[in-house]
Amino acid sequence: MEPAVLALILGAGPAFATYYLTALGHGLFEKSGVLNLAIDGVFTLGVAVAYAAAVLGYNPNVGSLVAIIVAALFGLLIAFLSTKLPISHGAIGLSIMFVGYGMASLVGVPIRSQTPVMVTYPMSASFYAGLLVISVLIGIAVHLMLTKTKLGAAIRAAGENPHAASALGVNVLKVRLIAGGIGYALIGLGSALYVLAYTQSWAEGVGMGHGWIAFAVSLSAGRHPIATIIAAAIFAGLLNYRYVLQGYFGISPHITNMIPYIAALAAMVIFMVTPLHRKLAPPRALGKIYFKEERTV
Amino acid sequence: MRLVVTRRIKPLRFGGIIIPLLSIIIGIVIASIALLVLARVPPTLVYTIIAQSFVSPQLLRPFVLLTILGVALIISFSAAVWNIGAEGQIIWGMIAAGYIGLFVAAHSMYIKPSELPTYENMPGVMILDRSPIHPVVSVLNVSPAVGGALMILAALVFGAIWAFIAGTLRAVLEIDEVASTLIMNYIAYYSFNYLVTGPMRGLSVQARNFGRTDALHEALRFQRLPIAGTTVTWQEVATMVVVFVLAWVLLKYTTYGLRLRILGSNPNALRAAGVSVRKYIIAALTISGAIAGVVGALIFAANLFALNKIDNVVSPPTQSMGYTAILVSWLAMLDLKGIPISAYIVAGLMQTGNSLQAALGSVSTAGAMISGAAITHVLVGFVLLTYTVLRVFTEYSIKVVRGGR
Amino acid sequence: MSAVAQNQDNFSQIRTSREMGGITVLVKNLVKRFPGVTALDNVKFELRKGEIHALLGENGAGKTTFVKILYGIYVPDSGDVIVDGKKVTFTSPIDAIRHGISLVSQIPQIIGSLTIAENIILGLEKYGLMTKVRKIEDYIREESKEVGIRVDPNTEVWKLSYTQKQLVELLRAVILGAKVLMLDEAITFLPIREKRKFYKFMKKFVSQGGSVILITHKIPEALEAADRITVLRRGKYVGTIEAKNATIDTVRRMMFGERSAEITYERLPLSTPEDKVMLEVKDLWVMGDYGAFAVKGVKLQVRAGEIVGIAGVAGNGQLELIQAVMGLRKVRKGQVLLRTNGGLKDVTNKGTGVIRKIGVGYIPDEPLKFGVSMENNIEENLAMLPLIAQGFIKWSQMRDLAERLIKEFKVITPSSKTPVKLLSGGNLMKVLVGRELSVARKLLVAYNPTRALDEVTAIAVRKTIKNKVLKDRIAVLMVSEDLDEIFQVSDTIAVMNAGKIVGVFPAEKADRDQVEKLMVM
Repeated sequence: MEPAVLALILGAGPAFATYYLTALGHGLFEKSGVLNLAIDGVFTLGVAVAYAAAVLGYNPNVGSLVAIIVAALFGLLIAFLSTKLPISHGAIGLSIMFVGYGMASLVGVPIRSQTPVMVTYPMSASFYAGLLVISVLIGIAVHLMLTKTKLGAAIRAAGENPHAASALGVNVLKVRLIAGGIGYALIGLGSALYVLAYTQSWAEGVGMGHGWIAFAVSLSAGRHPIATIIAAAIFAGLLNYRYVLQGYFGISPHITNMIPYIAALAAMVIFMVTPLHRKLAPPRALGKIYFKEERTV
Repeated sequence: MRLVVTRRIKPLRFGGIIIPLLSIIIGIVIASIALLVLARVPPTLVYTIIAQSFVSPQLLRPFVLLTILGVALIISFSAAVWNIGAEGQIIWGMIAAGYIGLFVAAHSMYIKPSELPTYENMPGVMILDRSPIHPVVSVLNVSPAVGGALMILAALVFGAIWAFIAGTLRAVLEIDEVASTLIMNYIAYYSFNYLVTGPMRGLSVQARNFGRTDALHEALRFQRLPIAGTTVTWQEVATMVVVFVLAWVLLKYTTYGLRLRILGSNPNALRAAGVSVRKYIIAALTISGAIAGVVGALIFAANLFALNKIDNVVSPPTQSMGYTAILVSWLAMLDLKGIPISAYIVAGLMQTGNSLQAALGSVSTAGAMISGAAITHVLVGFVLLTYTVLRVFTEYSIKVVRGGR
Repeated sequence: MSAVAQNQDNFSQIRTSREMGGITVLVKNLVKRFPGVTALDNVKFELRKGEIHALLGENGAGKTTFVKILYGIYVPDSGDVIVDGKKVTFTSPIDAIRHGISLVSQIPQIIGSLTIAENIILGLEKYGLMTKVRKIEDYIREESKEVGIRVDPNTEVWKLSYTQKQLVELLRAVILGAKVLMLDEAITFLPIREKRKFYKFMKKFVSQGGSVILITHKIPEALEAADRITVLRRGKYVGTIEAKNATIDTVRRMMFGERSAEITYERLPLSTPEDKVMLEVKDLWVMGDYGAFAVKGVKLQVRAGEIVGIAGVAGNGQLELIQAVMGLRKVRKGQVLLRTNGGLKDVTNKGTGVIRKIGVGYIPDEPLKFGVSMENNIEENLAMLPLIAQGFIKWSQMRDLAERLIKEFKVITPSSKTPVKLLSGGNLMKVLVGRELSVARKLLVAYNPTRALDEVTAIAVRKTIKNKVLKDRIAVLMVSEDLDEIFQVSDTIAVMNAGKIVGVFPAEKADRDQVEKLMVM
C-alpha cells in the first residue's frame, strides 16, 4: 500500500475507533429493543471521566477503564428501568442525557481548574494501527455473537418482540442487562478514546454532540456491526480531515464544524430512502414499553 | 424477590401533585449530593441559593419564556412528536429577528468622524460606536411597532421552517425526530456562528473584535415593565398570554388539537379514521417550532440586543431553555394547566444554576469554574430522571414480592 | 368411508387403548383478577396422564387466562397449581417449560425474523448463552420427522406458512420435553386436512404418556377429540363431563347457562340485493408484510342491500384485502371502486380519508389498535372522525351523539366522558360498532365485528347490522374467522384461500361442507 494512503488511514485511527466502538455499542444495545437516547450524555460524561481518571491515575488506561465501568453502570441502569418499569425509553434517555452533561462538568472542571498535565495515549503509528485492528476485531466478535450464539438470538428476540421472547424462554431483563452492560462498556471505551487518543485535550463541553454522530453512524448502517465499519470510516475521515478542507479550500471553521452533523443527517436520509432500511430493518419492538398483562379484546 | 408491577384501576389520588413535588425534592437532593461529592460544593450553599432563587424577581423573565416554550413543546409532545430541537428553532428565530432588526428595520453604517456631531441628536439615529477612526451609527427605517412585529414574524417563520424540515423527515422518511432535531441543533449553533461572525457581523469596533453583530437600535428594543429586579418586557408577557390562549383553544376546542392528542396515543386509530397522520406530524413540529422561534426574537429584542458567537455549546445564548423546557412540559404532565407551575419551578432551577455559579466564583471550592449551565443540567437532569421513574406510580402500583423460582 | 367418520374411528381407538393414569396437573381455587374484571373465580381443574381434556367456554370465559397461568405468563392472585404432586408457582414460561408444560396458541409465538433453530434453542435451558445455534440443528431435523414437518432448521420463520409455523410450535414443545401440551385454539382455524396432522400427533403424544389440554369454542371439535370436557363460564367453573356421555346440547347449556334460548345459529332474514354496485374490487393485487403477495387478483362486488361475508382460514389474505379496500395498504395492481353520487369512482390508493368521506364505516381487526384511542373518552373518540366533526368542536353535539349511542347499544359506562380504556372489551366494541354504523352511509367494511363479544351481544350486533342493510340498503363487506357468523349473517358468501376468491355463493344455496373444502384446497 502507498505510504501516503497508509498514513491517511492510520491518521484517522483514533477517530475511527471512537465512533466505531460507540456506534457498535449503541447498536448492540438497541438491538435488544431499548431506545438509547442517553448516548450523548453518557458519552460526554465518559469523556470527562476518562480525562479525570487518566490525570489522577497518571495512566491513560486507568482513564479508559474507569470510563468503561461508569458507562456500563449507566447501561445497566437504563436497561433495568426500561424493561422492568413501563416507562418511556425516550424519557429515561433524555433525563440521563441531561444528567450526563451536567455531571461531566462536575467531574472534569475541578480537575481542569488545577491545570494538570494532560495524560493521553501515544500519537504513534503503531498505536493507531492497534486501535484500528482491535476495534474491527471487537466488531467481528460482536457480530459473531449476535448471529451464531444463543445469546445473540435472545438479544434479537427481545428486540423484535419481548413478549414472544419471554414466552419462548428468554429472560428479557437479563438479556437486556447484558446488552446494556456490554453496549455501554463499548460506548465508554469510545468516549475514553475520544479524549485520550483523538482530541488529546479537555475543556467543559468536549464531546457534546459527538455521541449523536455515533448514533447516526449506527443508524445509517442499520445497526449491523460490520456495515457500521464502513459508516464509521466515512465519518472518521470527514471529521479527521475537516481541517484539511478548512486550509485547502479556505472554508470557515464554523462551516467545517457543521459538516459532520450535516453528514449525519444525510446518512440517515440515505439509509431510509434506499432499500437499505428494509434489509437492515430496525428491531420491531425498539422503544416500545415492555409491560405484561396487556388487555386484549 | 421480584418486582411486580400492576396497573392501577384508578390513578393514584393526588398523584398529579405529589409525584412532581416529590420528584423535585428528591431530584434536588440527589443533585446536591453530586455537587458535594464531585465539586465539594457544600449542600447548605445549594439550599440557600435555591431558596433565594425561587423568590427572586429575576425569575420572571425565564418564567415567561419557559411558559411559552412549555406550551410549544406540549403541542408537539401531545402528538408524541418529540421536539428536542427547540434550541435550534430558538436560534434561527434569533437569527431571523436579528437580521430584521439589524438590517431591515434599522441599519448600521459608518460615518466620518467629522459627521459625529450632526448625528448626535438626529431623531431615529443611535450612535453605536464613538471611536475616532470609524464611528458607527444605527438608523431606524420603520416605526418601532412595525419593527417589533416584523422581528417576531420573521422569527416565527424561520423557527417554523427549521422544525418543518425535521417534521418532514419524520413524516415521509420515518427518521426519528429526536435524532434529527438534536443534530439540527448543532447545525443551528454553527450556522449561527458563521452568520454572526460573517455576513451579519457588526461594523463597530467591539463587533469586529469579538465576533458579534452590532447592537439593536434602542427604539426597536422591547420595553421593560416597571418591576424592580427583573428585566422582563411587556412584549414578552403579551406573547405569553396570546400563545397560551391560542394553544388552549387549539387543543381543547378544535378537531386539530384533538387529533394531535390522539396522534400521541394511537396514530393507527387516526389512520383508520381517514386522517393524514403525516400532515399532523409535520403540523405538530412546525407549530411547535414557530412558537420556539418567536422566543428567539424575544430573547434578542428584549435582552441580548446583539448576537454573540457561541464559544462553547455548553452555554449557548438560549441558556439551554430549549432543553429545560422539556422538563417544563413533562412536569406539567403534558397538561396546559400545569405549565405555569412547572415553568416557575424550572425557572427557579435555572436561576439556581446561575446564582450558584456566581456564588462558587467567590468561594474557593474545587468547582469554582463550573458553568451555571452545567449546574442547571445536573438539577434538571436529576429532577427529570426522578420524575420519569416516580411517574410510574401514578398509574401502576409496584410491589416487592417474596418467592421466586 | 367419509373423512369425518374416519377421524372418529381413529379417536374411538384412542379412547379404549389409552392408559388413564394418575393426575398430572391439579388446579384448586384459582383466582385471577384484572383491573375491572375477575377473569377466573375459584376455578378447579384436573388433568390426568394420557388424556385429551377439552376446555370449553365462550369468549371471555377465562380459558386463555387459565392456560396462561399454567404457562407462567400470568401469576394468579390466589389458588394452587399442583404438578405431579408438588405445588408450583410459575413466574415465567421458563418455569412452566421446566415442568414439562408447553403452550401453543392460535397466533404463533415464534419470532419471524429468527430461524427455527434460534427460536427453539431459546427455550433449551441446558444450553448456555454462548452456545452456538448450529449445535442443535441435526437434533431438530430428527425430531421434525416425528412431528411430521420437513423444513430446514435454518429457515427464517417468516418464510413459513401458518400451518408450518404451528407445526414448528409443536416441534418446539416436543423438543422442550413437554409432558403437558396446551393448545389454545391452535387448530381451530386450520383446514380439516391440516387439522388431521395435529390429531395424528396428539394421538401419538398421549399414547406415549403425555396429556393435552385442548381449548376450543367449537363444541363438535371437543366432542370429537377429547376424553373429558371441562366448561368455564364467565370465569367460573361449571363442570367436567366425559365426552362419551356428552351431547352438543348438554355442553351448550353448560357453556351458556340460562341464556341459551337467545343463542341461535339460525340464519338472519336474507336481504335481496339491489342492482346498484356499491363496492367493486377488480383484479386486486396487494403485498403482504413479508415480501410476498397476500392478495392475488381478487375480484369482488358488493351491492346495495347486501352483506357479502368472506369466509376463510385466517391468514389467507383477508386482512390485507380489507386494509387495501380501506386505503390502509398499498394496492400494487388492480382497482378499488366505490359508488359516489356520480357513479363508481376509482379510489385505489387514494388514501383512507377519501374513502371514508364517501361514507364508509370501518370495523377493524384489532379494534384496540386501529379503532379507538384508549386514552380518550367516548365523546373524543367520536369527534376524532372527520365524518363526525371538523374544525371547531361542539362538545354538546358530541355528548348528544354519545348518549344516543350508549342507549341504543346498551353500553355500560359511567358517562360519555369516561376514558375508553376503562370500559370492558365488549362495551368498547359496542362503542366502536355504534360509531361506525352511524357513519356508514354507503358501505360498512368489517373484520371480525363480533370478536370479544359474548354471544348475546354478538347476536345483537349482527342483527343491528342486518337491519341497517335491510332498511337503509347499505352494503356490507365482512370478513369473519367464525364460519357460524358468516352463515348467520351473509346474503352472499365468498371463500378466500391463498389470496384468491375461490368461490362465491348466494347464502341460501351455500353448502357448509363445500365452503369448508374450498377453504382448504
